Amino acid sequence: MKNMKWMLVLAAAALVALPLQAQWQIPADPAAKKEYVAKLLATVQKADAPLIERFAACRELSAVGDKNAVPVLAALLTDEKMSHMARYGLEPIPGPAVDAAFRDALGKVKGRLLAGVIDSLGVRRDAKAVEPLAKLLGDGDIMIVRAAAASLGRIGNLAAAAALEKALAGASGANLDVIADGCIRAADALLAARKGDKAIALYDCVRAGKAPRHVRMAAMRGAILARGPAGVALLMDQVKGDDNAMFAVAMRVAHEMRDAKLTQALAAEVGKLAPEKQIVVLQALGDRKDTAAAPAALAAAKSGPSAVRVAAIRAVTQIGCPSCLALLVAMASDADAEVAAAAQACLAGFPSKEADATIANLMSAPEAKTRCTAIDLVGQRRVMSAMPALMKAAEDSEKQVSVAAFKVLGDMAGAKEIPAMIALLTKTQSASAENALSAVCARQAEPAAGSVVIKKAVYGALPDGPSAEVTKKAAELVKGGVMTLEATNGNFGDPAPRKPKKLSVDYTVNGIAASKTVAEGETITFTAVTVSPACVGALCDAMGQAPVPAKQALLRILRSAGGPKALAAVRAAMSDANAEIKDTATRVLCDWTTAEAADEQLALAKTSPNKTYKVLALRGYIRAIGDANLDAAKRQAMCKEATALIQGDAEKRLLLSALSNAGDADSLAMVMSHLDNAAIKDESCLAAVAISERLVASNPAVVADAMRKVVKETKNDGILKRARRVLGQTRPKPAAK
Amino acid sequence: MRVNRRDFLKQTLLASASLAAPNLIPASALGRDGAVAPSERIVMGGIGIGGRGTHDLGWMIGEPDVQFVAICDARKNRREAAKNTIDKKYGNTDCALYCDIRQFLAERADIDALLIATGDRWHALASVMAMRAGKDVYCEKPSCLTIAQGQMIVETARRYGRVFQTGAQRLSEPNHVFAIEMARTGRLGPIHTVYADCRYRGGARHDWLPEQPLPPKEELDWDAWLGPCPWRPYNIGYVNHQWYGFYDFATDVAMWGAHTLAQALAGIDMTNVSTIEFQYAGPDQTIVTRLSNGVKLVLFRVDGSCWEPCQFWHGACGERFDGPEGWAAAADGYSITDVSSPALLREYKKVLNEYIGRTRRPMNHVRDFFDCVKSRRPTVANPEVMFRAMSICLAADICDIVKRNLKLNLVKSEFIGDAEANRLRSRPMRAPWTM
Repeated sequence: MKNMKWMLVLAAAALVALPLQAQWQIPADPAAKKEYVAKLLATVQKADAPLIERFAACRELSAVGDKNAVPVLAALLTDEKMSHMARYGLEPIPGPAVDAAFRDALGKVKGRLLAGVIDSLGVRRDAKAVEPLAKLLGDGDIMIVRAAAASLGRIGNLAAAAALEKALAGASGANLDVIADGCIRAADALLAARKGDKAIALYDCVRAGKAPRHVRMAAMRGAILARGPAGVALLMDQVKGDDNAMFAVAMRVAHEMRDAKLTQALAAEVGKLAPEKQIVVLQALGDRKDTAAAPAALAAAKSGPSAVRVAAIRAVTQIGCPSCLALLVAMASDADAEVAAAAQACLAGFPSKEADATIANLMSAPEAKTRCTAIDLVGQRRVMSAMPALMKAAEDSEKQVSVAAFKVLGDMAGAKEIPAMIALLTKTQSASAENALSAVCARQAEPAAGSVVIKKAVYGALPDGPSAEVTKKAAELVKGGVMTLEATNGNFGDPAPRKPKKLSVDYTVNGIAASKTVAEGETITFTAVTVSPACVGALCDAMGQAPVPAKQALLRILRSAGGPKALAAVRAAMSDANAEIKDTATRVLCDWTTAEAADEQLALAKTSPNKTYKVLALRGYIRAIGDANLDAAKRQAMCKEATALIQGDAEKRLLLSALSNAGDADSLAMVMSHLDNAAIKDESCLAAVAISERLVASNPAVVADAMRKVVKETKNDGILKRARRVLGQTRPKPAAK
Repeated sequence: MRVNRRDFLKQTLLASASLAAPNLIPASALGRDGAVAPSERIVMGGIGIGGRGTHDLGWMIGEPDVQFVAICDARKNRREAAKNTIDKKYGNTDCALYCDIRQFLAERADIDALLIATGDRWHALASVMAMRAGKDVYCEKPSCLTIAQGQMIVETARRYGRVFQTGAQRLSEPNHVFAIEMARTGRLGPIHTVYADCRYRGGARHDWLPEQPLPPKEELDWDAWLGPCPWRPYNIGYVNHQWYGFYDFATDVAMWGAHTLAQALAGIDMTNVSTIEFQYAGPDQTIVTRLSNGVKLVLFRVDGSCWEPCQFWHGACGERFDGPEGWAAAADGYSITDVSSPALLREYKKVLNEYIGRTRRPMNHVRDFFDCVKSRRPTVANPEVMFRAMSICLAADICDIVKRNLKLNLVKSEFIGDAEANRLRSRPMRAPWTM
């Protein structure tokens, strides 16, 4: 308890910061800036000023300090407390005076302060510092040797390189590591300065010496790359050798060196290597994407250990040579499952048009298994030119092939294919054909702004406060393709500053009137579904001649297509002379997915003598409550009707799901009224959380109240976690990663 | 039971033999030798395993060919928590603990790779020290505080031939990859505008929290915690997350931009992009930039946190690509990429298949890192990818400091015609720390 109190005191203290320190107030005006710099320098020199202020001044001087700042900051390099911040301010200031100041400080400081000054000289690449820094390579303190070696490496001129090379010869222990590192840095700098021979000599010196292996690996990399094309031989020596570390270096360099000779050399060698190495070399060849490596990769793919073959197949795919396709196709049905899976995956993503044709041709292979694989690949690659072959495959005598073809047709076919698919359905009368056609028809009904007409839109402190008519703006947005209208000042201006606002929109979707009101920050989504007349027309036309099972299937598909014409056809079929068709049509109506059929569903639910229809119609009616185009009043009225008819918990769960889909503030209130029902508590809590997650930004107070209740009621960890997260979002957020 | 590396290799050999598979393990694999063969286990260590690090550790430790053996942290409670996780996983008490990174790197030659998940102030320095010690590195974002630090990571990774992955994990998530590929492959037409979520209201504080008594060094080594940053008096608030808001310890735009700029740039052809111009619009305002190829890159910043929905996406860390043929956007929590037309999603599987075929990336960020440790290929979020994104984020921070438009030469990492801005590209490190 005592500890707890102490922690609380600490936490409270942590929250009470000192007054904010102004920073980066640099004036743009040159005269004002000069004055500002003078003030900063005065602060820095004021020994009795708080450290934080002197630090802040140094930080600012790093950007604006001029020649007047140099002696002031240089004088502080020897100050134990100020030395780092003096460097902070001084190091970025251009000009030789700064270099001289740092060099001068070398003889005046020790330990950490000296290491810092050495570091600054390295950052500034001060060539005049080479001599004093070289002497420090012999210092007894590893911290100083490390800093000196690093800085000499950064300076990286011939003198620095010579000093480091000399020191390397006599170095041992930890010094050897840091001096060798300095040598590599210097060699890199020499190479960048077009002193390749000197760089090579230094790399070679390090890799031949006793430096730790990882430093010699760096030297090997440098030695290979510095040699240019001649470095290929040195690289290949590492590939062929038995030093695992140097093999790793070679493979790393194989990703950096673009020389075509390297591809040829690796390709020539890969087959002779141990399998373990083959895998890595094949991966490098794949990454190089040089077609010269294709024959070697193909050879490796044909036989050998699975892991090597898989690596080779992947390399072939990365290289992307069309001539490799035949082999990949063959391996797609390899006896080795790993190889076959790799080949199939690679065929799915093989980067060429030729692959499309090759795979489509496979659909006429003699083996059913191969045909199935080809069909799946055609689907994955979306080979639209294979559509006729898919239609043919749908009638394949092998059921597995037919099923696979219908699956892909359902995914790929469009409006153009609908007549042919109706014919296939009529002919095969299969569930696969029905599913495929249903998927295609459902896809024809897509959201489209063109079918939404904004009649009136008002934004403001509704209903009684200041507001503005924004019909024109809303219509413009919708015309421009916006399907989700956000109630924000950004969209509609601010007719009621500092007041909670709402957006109210009256609109029609496909001629059906609807209206919605949402709070500021919320959105209205127009699920304007444009039903394809050609699709529905073709389905209705086919109904006349189709045999009974196909006609039943077409009725079910009409539900997927949707729209008034489809619904009319279903209604008509409910009076069909054939009892089976009549039954199917009634069930389809019960299951209609939008609110267009709600009134008939309600009537069936209330008055049908058939108990099954009553249940199905009620469920359909409840689902329609989730129709996003319903306005709040209609939804509430439907909820009331549904609640009066609901007898079981299954329907209550359905209602919660529908309200969750609707997702507005009224729905949340309705969901919350079910929280006390133990049988559906989890579902109620889940729906409340789902709605709240969407509403939290615009309705934090309502959501907070709901989530507190959920947190209290639920026993489900997952729901509890989500509810707490939403609850957290209702509070102001601290800065966090 | 503790399974050491040698036991593991023996077991693998036995398993290989029993399956009549060829022996893929060369004799040299029995010595560490600074390289990991495809069949070997990757020996890992962790540095600074706190909140995010614990998540990463849990992710990595689940990979079958990874074994964590040691943790280094300036905070005792963090060290021990990570050790508990590791020891529990392996059913032993073998995970070694270190407080000093220099001692850790010097003594653990057996470690192949490191997870670095310290506070941001340590990311670059620890990464460079680790790579210099011959370790491959998975480093959390943002991987550097300054442009100079970022350059040093790029240089060191190249110099030492090390594999480095920055924790921009969305580059390995299908929804983001799909959006990126839609842009990159021209399916949206030539991209004219890209948006990246950079909302972060932390700002950059320069004050000091009130001084508190230092805890025992064994509990928290304050000097080590500060590392290369300017000294300041101790306050537990810094250690407990408040460091995010302080200029000395963190960045601003890169808080999320380290992710979202990497995502945004991945979808743009950057081959011949040499400059980027920043239009300063006021404190914490959206920064509109223009790349030299004409693409408008919008660093989106408005009031509100990254988690709140906005007009471009409805989750955290979003990016959006706009072209004449449509747009694609992705953010956290999406079940599928958001697109201007559902028709664009029909190629979802095809686009991802092509991406995997072309790149061989596993769509799992840490797995990509481990695969690269073995193959020595660059990771999906390699140093160059990290630096490209970070240099833009950090330049935007500098734009906020100097409060004027800037133009950055992306090849030289230099501002054109602005000496003051150039001077802000580095922050001298507190000795003895040096890169």
